[in-house]
Amino acid sequence: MPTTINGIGTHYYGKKNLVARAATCQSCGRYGELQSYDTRLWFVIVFIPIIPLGRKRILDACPACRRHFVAKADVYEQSKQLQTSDSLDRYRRDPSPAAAAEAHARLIGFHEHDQAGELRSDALARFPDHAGLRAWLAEHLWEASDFEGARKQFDDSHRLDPDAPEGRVGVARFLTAEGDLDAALGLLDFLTEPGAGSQHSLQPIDQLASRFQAVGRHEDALELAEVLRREIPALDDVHAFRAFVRKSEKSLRRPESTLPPRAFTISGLLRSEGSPYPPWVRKTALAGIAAALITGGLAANNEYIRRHRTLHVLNATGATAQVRVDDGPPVPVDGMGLLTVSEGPHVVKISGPVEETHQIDLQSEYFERWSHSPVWIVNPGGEAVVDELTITYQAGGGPVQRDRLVGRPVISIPHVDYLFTTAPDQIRTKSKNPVVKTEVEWAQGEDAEAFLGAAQGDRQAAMDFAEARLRRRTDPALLRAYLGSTKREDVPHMLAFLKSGIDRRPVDVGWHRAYQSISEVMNESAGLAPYYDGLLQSTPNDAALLYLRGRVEDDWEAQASFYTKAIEADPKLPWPRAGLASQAVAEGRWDDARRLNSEAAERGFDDHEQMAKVVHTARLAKGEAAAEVDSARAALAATPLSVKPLERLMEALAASGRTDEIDRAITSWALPLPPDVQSRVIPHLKGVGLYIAGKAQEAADYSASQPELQAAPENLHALLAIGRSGQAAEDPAFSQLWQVPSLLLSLSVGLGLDGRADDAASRREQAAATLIEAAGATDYGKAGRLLAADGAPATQEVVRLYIDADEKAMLLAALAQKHPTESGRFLAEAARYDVVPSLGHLLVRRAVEGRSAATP
Amino acid sequence: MNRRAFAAEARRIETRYRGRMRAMERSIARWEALGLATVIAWAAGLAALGVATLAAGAVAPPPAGPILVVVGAAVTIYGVFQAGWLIPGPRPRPGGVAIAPAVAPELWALLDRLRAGLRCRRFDEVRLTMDLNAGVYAAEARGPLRRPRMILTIGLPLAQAMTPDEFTAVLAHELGHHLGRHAESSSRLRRLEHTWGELARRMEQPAAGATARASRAAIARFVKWYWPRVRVRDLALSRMYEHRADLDAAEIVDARALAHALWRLEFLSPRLAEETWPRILAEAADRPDPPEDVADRLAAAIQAPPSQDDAGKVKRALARATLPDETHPALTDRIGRLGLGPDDLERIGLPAPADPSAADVYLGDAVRTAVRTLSDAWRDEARGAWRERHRLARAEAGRRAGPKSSVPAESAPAGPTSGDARGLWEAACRASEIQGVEAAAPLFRLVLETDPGDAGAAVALGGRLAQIGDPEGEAMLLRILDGDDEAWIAHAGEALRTAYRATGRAEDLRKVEVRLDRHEVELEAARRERSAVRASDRFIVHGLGVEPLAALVDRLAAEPDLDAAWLVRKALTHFPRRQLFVLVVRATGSRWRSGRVDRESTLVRRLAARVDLPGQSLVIAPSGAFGSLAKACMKRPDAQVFRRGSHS
Repeated sequence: MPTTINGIGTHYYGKKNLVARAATCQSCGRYGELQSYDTRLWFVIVFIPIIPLGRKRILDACPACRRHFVAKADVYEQSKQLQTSDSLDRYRRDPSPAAAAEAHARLIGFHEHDQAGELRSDALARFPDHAGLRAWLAEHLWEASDFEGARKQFDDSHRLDPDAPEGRVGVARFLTAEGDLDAALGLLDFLTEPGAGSQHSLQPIDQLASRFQAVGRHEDALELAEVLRREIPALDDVHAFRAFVRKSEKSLRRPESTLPPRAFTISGLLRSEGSPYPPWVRKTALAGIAAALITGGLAANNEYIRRHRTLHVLNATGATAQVRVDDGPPVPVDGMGLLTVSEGPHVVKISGPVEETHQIDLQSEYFERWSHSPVWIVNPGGEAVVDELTITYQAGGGPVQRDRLVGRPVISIPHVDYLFTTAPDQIRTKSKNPVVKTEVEWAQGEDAEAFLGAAQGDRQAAMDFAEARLRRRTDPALLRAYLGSTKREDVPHMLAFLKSGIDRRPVDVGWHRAYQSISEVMNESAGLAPYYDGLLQSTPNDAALLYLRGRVEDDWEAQASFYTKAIEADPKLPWPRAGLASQAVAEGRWDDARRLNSEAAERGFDDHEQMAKVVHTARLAKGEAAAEVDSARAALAATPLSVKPLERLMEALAASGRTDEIDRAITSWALPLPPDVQSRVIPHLKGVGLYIAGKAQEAADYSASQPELQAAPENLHALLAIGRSGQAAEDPAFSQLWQVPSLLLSLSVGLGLDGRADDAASRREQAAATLIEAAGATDYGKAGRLLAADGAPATQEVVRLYIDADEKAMLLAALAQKHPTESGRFLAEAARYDVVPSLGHLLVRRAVEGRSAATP
Repeated sequence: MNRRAFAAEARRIETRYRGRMRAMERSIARWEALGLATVIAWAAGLAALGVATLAAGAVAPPPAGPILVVVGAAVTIYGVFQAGWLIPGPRPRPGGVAIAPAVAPELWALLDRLRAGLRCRRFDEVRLTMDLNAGVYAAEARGPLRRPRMILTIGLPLAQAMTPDEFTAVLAHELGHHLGRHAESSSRLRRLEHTWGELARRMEQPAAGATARASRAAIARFVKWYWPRVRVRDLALSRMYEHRADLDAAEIVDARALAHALWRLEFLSPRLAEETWPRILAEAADRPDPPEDVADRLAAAIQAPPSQDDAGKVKRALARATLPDETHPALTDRIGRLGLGPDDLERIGLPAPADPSAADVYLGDAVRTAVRTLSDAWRDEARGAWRERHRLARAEAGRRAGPKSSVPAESAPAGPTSGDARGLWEAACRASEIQGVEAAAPLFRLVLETDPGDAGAAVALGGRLAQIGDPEGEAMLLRILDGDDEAWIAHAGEALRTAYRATGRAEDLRKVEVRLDRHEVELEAARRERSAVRASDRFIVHGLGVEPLAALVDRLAAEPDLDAAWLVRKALTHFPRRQLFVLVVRATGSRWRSGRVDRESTLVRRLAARVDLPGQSLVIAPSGAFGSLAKACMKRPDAQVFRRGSHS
């Protein structure tokens, strides 16, 4: 039958030579007007005929079920004419009843009912007394659903030869349908005789028995059933017949059935036709087999899953690890390894780059084995970086939560949708609710970045990861990140960790620098100079040791001397030049700083951020802000999402007077960020932008309007710049900020400028104490001590501190307030260092200019 | 495979396996395996696919695993259910009356003695039947792992006909079959046939689609190739089994007794088939129910002394040769293997009735009970056919008694009647159906006297005469066989074949079979030739006589829409006597005028039902699907038979 899907497919168009007749559909069995006609089959698109697929003759199309027979129209027409003319010619040549019946059947078969009627008339005129002919014609008419014509012919046939079986059966068929069952039985009595089944079809007896049963004449029905059983013994094994007999026996309340017990046969269960079993038994058997197969198959599948779990080994150590599960043989794993293990507890031993033993228990619920895809990962040394992404799919895009899993030797995740494959950007779902999927990826990239990402979550794991990676290789970026994220409580542990690596040779300068820095924070730097002196005794010309020795030297000139010696010992070593550059920056020798910085860079100094900062400060100090704008833009283009270049750009724009470009720069930078990140970051940047553009009042107003900025440093500095230090000091929103010494110091300067000298002193002391406590022997600690000292420090003491220029300016402003008699020299120096328009810049300017509040 | 190829294959097989019965058994076992594998390939393939999918599902990760398990289970079940109808039913049980050892101890003692000689196991059951024969059957076992039950059937007429020695030899022969497990081998093949029969029955239902049609075509091709080859081997093996059983029997009994038994059966079988049974069945004309004493009548016929007719039957039997489509070798071949020749039998002469008979000696009182039971069983079995025959006879008698009041004919005008020959022919057919061909022979002769060209009567009468060796019958049949009346050629050939087989005329039989093969090929070619008419066919002048042509032209002139008509005949290679006409009709009006296609279509429909041409006919129009065919017909210069305006 032609079919279309969404208007594409095949379809009939046209209807010619239509012939309709009332008959029973051979497919659905309904009585209706069946149509036969010529049509054309088309290939259609949107029901528009496109390609003709041939002329067809549709035969007996049922109006109810639409089923029909179909033939090629021309082939059908030829066959019809050739076959009917052949039969008619035979009849004309040999006008016998048999030939007439054959021709009649042929015409009826081709639905040539008019022609068949003419032939019928002719044949009956020729053979008026031939009962057999009438019975044959009647049978054809019955098949063609011409029941009226069939009845007449059967009646005539029976009248002509009352003994002829065809006529008796034909008439009985009508009598049965009309309900005259006794008359029908009388006509069919010859079929009830023994042996009748071998000569005639017993279907009329079967139909009559059914009618007897339907009208409640069960005795008669059973008698006929006995006839059927006698003639066709196999009926005893046919369920439909047995059910028929039982129904009548039950109605007659017969205590015992005449049917023999049903014999068990397998084939009877498997076939519907002639089965001794009722449909429900066969269906139950079918369902039983299906249930057994499916249950067995699913149980096998579940057990197979249980026994064949995959243990992923992510070896990021760079060396081949031998992984052994329980008593199994060691398996070398380089990169990602897959081990198949059964669920349950296992001991995983790793050797090679690391020596570890892990107890791992692989467990999942029985049914979750099908619904969940758990993942177990063994991470030798915890060095692999695994990202677990929770992706929410929803209309308009949903959030993606990334959890960085580092430093964990064993990772177990209950369900992962996309394991080591990237989840699609979009999925099609019928649900309107958000769909959450999980992705796990091996995100082994920059260790520093991985560490920083992980440190926001499981800090201890991140520290473990960083230490494992640093132990394997000193990655300067990771080391900086490791140190940069230092929390006070971590410092002893970090010191111990770094101390464990200082004896490694060759001397790792980066490691030693880190160790020195942490030692200073811990106030344990006193022993460093002797330590390096001891080392230099055996290798006096070791440039690295000379440089490191210089770093722990308190005396400014001696320090410079060590750096110079180191350069002489190894002119290619970048560190001493970087050290000298730092000295130059500290002393405000901007040209020297840039030169030395450049030399260090040429020799491979890789702290790009520090170098950029030096250049940035020096350029702004030298009035080369325009050039710095270009430089910052280039850096921003290279690392579009990095904040530091943006800050430099904003400061350079402010310094060059192009404050109107700051907002555009912020917007361009934030454009690639996800909306939620934008909404969190942009207010801060805008607050800073307004401040450094000199628009302190606007910055304050803007901060007040943004909930994110209520307790932010931007708001604090804006308030200080516009002389509302008292409000800032009393605002509990800022309480968290007072733990930051530089902000406390700024507050003290602001309070001082606003005439609250006592409060200023109090805050200053508080800032000094915090610096001393937190920064130990570092230059920040020294700054705290200078601030805390009763006497005014020498200018050189302050100038030679290794702190940022803007911080130094603020320190000098604070010292000027503490020592009013010396304020001139301190403020002069503060003005010299107030070169970067960062947060605090307006406050320092107020101090330097002696104004009570910044003018917008 | 046609008859000739079948015979050639049979000769090849017999040559190849001569004296190598075990090799033959292995060969047929291989063929059986092929047949079985083919018939179960679909179901087994499905089940295997299902199991494989299940197994794949068991080891596949979710969600594929559970899905594959469910799909695999569904396919497996479908395969198993498909196999359900291939499981052969139980082996059929032979009819008759069971004879327990207590009822006929002498018979069982004889069997035990013979069994001991051949060292084979006992029969599970012995049954008496109404056949003039004995046989071994493998019936259904009593348990799934047990061997089939071996049943020996002994025809009561056989026991009544044989002397004790002959009977003993026949039983020894049957034990030879039992020893060689011949019945089990045959039973396997019958069950395979049953399975294939079930498949064929299912294939009779309408095909659901192109795939079903293609697979059915493939199966039909296989069947056409496979079964004749299996049949050849089966028959050859059956004949080998007969020889083997004869030789086994000859080891423990006198070979001459076995030869005597076969010799006796050679004239008793035709006596019962050609004389006794027709006489009994002819009684159906007078009595509504079968006789109660049929077993006694058979016994009487068997125990009658040999007659002159029997001598003729025996002569025919001795002339008969083994044919490739027979399960049993010819008598001469069988006794030849036993070291005897036709001369030995002729020296013995026709054996006198057995006295005492084997039934007297070995069955004793059991005979009386068996006669009653077997007669009753036969009556029950035959009653349906008997009554139908009686009904026909009564109707025929009524017909002869005088005309009935006829049902008023319908309004159609009375047509010409077929004359006496037609009436005689129908009467002869009815008589043949009721009383047999022999009784109807005078009527058939009358038909031929009325119409010497009546092929049907010639076949019926000729067949009967040829069977009893009358050369007139053979001549009648050969005339039909060499003619071109395709409706009767096959019947004549088959009648001749039967006659030649009965008289042992192997060469003539071969020639007839060649002719029948050729006829079947011609019939198929004719069917194809007449199934369609194409533009590429060759067309010739219609050749209609003046009167039929005038009638046709008048008929065409009566169609007002008809402009012109052309009539040609398709040139036919096969049975050209039956003609095939093509009539092209063109409607009036310009060919470009709209609606012409519809008018011509209507014209074609009307004329196709009205035109009477002496043969097949196809009416077409130049427009529509048959345009190119119409052009090809109209091209003939002498084809145009009508043009409006020129007709007067």
